[in-house]
Amino acid sequence: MIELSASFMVVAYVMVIGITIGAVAALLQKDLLRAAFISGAECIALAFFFQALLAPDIGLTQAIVGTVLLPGIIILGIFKTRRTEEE
Amino acid sequence: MIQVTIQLLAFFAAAVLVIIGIAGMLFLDNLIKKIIAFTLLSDGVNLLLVAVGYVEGGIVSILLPGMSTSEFASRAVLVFPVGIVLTNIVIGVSTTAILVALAIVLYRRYGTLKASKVLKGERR
Repeated sequence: MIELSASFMVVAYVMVIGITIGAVAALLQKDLLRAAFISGAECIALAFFFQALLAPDIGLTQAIVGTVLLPGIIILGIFKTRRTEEE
Repeated sequence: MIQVTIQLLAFFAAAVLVIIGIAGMLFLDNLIKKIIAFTLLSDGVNLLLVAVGYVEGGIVSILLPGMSTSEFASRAVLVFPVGIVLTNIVIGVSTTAILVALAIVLYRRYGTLKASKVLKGERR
């Protein structure tokens, strides 16, 4: 049996930093389109974290849903309304 | 000194996501930003549920050939939170779709996406 927990610890450290920076940066953008894409990137980091937590099926689902479906729905809403945040 | 494990890091990340999500839903003014903060909050709750089911030094919950059932039951991670979270991800997508549709309806009615202007109720 291959010992995987040490490499998963490295993945977990990197992904905690990625999730934190991505979540803060997505909410600080003035451009809503950019905020949608950054939230998709944060979902990729979350999918890697699920993989490190020994739940690969949730990792696959989160990678597809969080990167394609959720930003797609939000981008449709942005194109129907307005792109920048008004003052 | 607390020993840092993957489970502890997952709890930390889930707490960060839930705090950022609640703060964004409360203090941001744009409706689309509120929806993005809601998805962050949902991700945090999913991560917390998966981290509760993690077993230290365990294996992925797949019954490989040549593995006895008792060994599988003693080492595999819990399968019940995985099922819950798999359902919750799908429900979260449909909830987000409904929220975006409601935001579009509010924009057509009031001409703005600011929650403070929508709450004042000035029709366009």
